Amino acid sequence: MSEDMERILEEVLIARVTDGEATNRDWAEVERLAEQDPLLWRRLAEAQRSHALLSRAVEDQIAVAELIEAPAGVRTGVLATIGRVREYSGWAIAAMLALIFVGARLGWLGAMGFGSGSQQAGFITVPVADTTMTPDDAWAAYIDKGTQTGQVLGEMPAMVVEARPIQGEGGTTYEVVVVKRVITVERVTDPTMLRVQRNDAGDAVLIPNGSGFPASSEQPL
Amino acid sequence: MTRQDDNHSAYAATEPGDRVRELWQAHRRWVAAILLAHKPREADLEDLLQEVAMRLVRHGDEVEGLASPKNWLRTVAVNVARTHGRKQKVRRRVWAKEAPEMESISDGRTDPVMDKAEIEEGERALDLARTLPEQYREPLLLRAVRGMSYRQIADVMGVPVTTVETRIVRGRRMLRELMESRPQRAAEVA
Repeated sequence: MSEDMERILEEVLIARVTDGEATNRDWAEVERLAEQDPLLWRRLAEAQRSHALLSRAVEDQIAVAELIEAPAGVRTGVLATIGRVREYSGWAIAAMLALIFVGARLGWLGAMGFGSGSQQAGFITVPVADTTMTPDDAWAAYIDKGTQTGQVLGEMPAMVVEARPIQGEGGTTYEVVVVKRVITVERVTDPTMLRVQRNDAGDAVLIPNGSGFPASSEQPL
Repeated sequence: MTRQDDNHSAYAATEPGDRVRELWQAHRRWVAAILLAHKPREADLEDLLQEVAMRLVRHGDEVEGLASPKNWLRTVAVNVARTHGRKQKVRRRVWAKEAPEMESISDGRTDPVMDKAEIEEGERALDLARTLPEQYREPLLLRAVRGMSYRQIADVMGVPVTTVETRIVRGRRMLRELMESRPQRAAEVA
């Protein structure tokens, strides 16, 4: 067997041992090679250590996946958008979306159980009685009022969820579903309600712990 | 692989919503690793995971009928990582601008199990692994997910087990060479 072939064979065997995939035959081959070159054990140990370090780094990064749940159900239309976002990202974002629509559809959402007092997650009240207010007006009013009171720190760019073509008289247009996001300040009186979690960048961030805090704030503070 | 062969609990639940939810719970960790392998550095992994979860729910019925929902999830994850990664860059800049005081929380990070040097070495390995060619970094990072065997990685990627093994071996060799050829961050600072 050529030197190159021996090296490749050794790498494959080391990988199998490191990954728990080695058979009895593989182990016998490892021992045979190690009799010729005892440093193989050292290379094996180094490979296992490297794998352990990389695994740890990857596990740290992907730990956030445990916090992400799939939303329960899908409905159609505007309510589906609000409902999905509520189940998926918490009440704050859903309430913001509700605010967009509530100006034009006041009463309809209420009848469907959205926007009731117990589910508003401490949101700023927008004067929705003005039925001439457009969704954009309501959104701007929320941002303005929140900025004034200090509850809103700023608005982040919307995240596009889906864009689907719609055939109309003027040709094809697109209906774009977006999640709008706002950075808000929440007040916490009990510090035990928070726990430290690593974010994607590996930085420690504070995460609300359990109930009693608006679900929306499950985003890192 | 058939639906019957896909031996996880996702299909044990009776309600469609429950089945999708369980499907997600069974696979979300390796989906995160796929995203990690393909997303730009500045993209937020949590956002991308939410995006994949939402797509899974929206297409739940068709996914359940697929012979290989794992393949579907992988394809979606790769697409989401590639198409949405760039947008997050802007968002992070906004976040840093709007709430700079909150970033300082990261100063207090500690780890009771591994020492700091080992954690940094692992992070450096991950950084470098993400620079490897796509066909090597993906199986390498999937193998780094606890409990992922060659067989499972092959199922996810839709390639033979031998291909997975070969790519992992080559990927590790390339990573080792990168680790040896590039000075450590600490050394660079010094």
